[in-house]
Amino acid sequence: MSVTETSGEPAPVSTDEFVNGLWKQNPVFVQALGMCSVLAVSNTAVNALAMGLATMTVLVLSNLAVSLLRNQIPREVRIVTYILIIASLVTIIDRLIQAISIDLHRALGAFISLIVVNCIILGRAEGFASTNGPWRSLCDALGMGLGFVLALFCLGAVREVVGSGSLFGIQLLGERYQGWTVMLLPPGGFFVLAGWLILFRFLGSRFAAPFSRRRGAT
Amino acid sequence: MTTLTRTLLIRSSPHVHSGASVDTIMRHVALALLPACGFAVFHFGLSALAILLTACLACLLAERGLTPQLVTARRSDVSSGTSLRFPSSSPGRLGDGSALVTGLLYGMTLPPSLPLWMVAVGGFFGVAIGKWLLGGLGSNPFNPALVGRAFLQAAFPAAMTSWPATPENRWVAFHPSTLAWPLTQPNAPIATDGVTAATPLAGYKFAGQVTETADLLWGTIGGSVGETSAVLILIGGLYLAVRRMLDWRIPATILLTVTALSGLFSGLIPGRCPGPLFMLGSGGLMLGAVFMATDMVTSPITHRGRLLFAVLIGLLVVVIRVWGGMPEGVMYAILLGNATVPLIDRAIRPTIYGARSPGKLPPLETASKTASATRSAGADSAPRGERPMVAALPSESGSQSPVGSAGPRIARVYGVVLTIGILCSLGIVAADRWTEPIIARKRAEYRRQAVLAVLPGAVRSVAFRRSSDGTFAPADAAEANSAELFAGYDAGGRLVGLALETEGQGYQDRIRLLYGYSPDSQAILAIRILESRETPGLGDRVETDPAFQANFGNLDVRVGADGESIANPIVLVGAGQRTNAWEMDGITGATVTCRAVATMLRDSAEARVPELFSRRGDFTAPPEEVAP
Repeated sequence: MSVTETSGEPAPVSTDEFVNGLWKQNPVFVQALGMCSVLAVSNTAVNALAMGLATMTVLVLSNLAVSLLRNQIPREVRIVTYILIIASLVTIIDRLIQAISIDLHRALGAFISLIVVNCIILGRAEGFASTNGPWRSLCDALGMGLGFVLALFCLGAVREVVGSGSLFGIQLLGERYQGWTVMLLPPGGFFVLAGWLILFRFLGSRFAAPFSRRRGAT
Repeated sequence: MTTLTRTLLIRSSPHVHSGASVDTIMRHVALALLPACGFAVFHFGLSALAILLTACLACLLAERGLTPQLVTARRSDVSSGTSLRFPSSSPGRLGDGSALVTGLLYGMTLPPSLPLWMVAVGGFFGVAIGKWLLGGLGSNPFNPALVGRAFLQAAFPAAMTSWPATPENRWVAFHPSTLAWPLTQPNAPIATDGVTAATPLAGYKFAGQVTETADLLWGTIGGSVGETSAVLILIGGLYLAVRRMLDWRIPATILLTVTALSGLFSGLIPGRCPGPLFMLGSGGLMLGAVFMATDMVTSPITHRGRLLFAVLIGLLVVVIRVWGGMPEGVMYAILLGNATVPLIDRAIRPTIYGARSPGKLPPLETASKTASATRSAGADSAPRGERPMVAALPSESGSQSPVGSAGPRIARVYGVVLTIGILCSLGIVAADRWTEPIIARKRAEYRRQAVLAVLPGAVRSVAFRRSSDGTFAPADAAEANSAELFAGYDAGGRLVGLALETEGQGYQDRIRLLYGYSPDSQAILAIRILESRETPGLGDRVETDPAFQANFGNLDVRVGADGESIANPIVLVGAGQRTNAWEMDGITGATVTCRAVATMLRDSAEARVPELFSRRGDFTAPPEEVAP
């Protein structure tokens, strides 16, 4: 887990938390968390975006709720309480997605319910929101959530383009393009994820150093 | 250091060097493969030659490009201890020939019409990832040639399972698809109307054809480039066995197992499982058993271990061929067999020179010592990890709630959890109440769209149910959600047809579909897949392929003279071979899914259509109330 938070520090400007999740502590590319949904539903750009946004919504709301309730929640039962909050939010999101599109709900399948056990969400609740105020927790959740959306979209877009030659269902590479079916299947998720990890490591080692001290990378 | 000791103890002396190096062995293996390769070029023509050359080139390039980096990396890895075994494989050399043999073997397992760029991709993958990234020469757990093929099978399932007929002028012209540009589909559509040279196994599994035994022996059949000629492969294998470069026990055991099992099962379930001779001569069994399962790196060390390994492969081959979705299973059988090798080698140890019984000595002891060390470390650390949490409680509660006596504290804990629980439940209930009508409306709309899609011309659908007296009546609103039978009416209120739901086993998972049946023309009008997880770009073509969709509209399900069964049950035929109204054209490369759809339609029609046809009067009058 990351240990970026410095709890005593008064911070009116919270861009730091925001950028942190988006890039330096990106939940997928740097921390390698939440792999289950990352690999399973990133086979098209639409699925990836929907899954990312659903997770982000849950993350933002749960971080906010946990942060607001942090002084009320008894320490012994905090995990139970977090799970209670997260599971309720996921149930609500599940119904909302069904109400928005049944096809989308079919495509995402059981992975919507599995957002409950996505370790990013519980990790941020326990690791950040439980010791920080609502505003900072919100920024943290937005950063992490957007980082997750970005990562999923990176995977989904590449897999859809290579696997079926289209993006958002629009044919890009012409009728004659021979799709790499494997990219739409779980092994393809691993290949593409590996490619992005290599790229991120490379970019990280290349550009991150001048920015600031590297914090919390494990 | 312990690794080294262990290695030395397992392979106890005395050793006699046979004088054979990796180099010489590989040269002889390549020689043994030549007859089969030569026959492949004779039988499949220029395309086969190009495939073999490309495969070798790709493997050599991967070897050449990757070896320097990876060998250096491996040497620096002290714990691996594997570089000890092959000190001669110096960086950057192509000379030990193993990549060439991998390339030849890999090329021989490919279909003769495969585009060359795919051949190159798979070959590179096999050597780069299957061999070097997974350990390098002598340490790779899986046969690199088969890893390359498995990758292609996953990446390009259509190209890997289409077997177009060899062109007449095969020695001067390529297959139309051989020279396809990378990432594009082949120029000519793959032999849609011509005779496809399906492999004997596919012919048996999907059409019940049995190939002549003599053809199987000599190899004048369809199949992968180098796998067709059983006799020439056996000759190559014999040559190696005589030179003691191949353990004859492995192929012999595999072939015996397959013979015994197929003899048994062809007696028990005739029609499902072919006889032993057919099993032995068809597909990649000979090539796999003789040249791939015997790979020294990926087979067990001991004789008994090899027997077990070979029996396992033989068993898997028969199981996959008879009960699997695909006609051929040698590749997966060998890869799965490879995966068990470390386990087999661990369970069955060679007899140590001078000892009476095998495998009673050190390694397990070291292993268990490490395991127990880990366990005790874990036992230590677990409470250490938990302690702060427990210890934190008093101080924490002291800082938060005023005075810390147990009763009020517990009451507060329960109170908070209960409050949050109630709030969460309220949230869920609110969301549920709010979305429920929307979801119900969307579901109904979704179903209505599906029903109208399978009943061309219909504008209104009504759910029906079967009453206890055997008649059919419109379902009321509560039952409509679970109905499986719908009637569609056109603008003038006339019955267009009935939509029925059915499901069955596809290639990946259950398929659920809706089909439209017209009692007037006694035909299936259209189908719509409701739920399926078939392979994208392949199995899901049953929804999009225009040739397959053309099966419907007049697919005949006429009720027979007795009024209780279908006159001509639906049958699936090869692509473009439909002649009767009750036959369905398949899709090349998606045979399993097509079969599943055809079987589902046949079974469902036989079960439901006679009854519906006899009660067709129940549906003619559209119900009054408007419930779209």
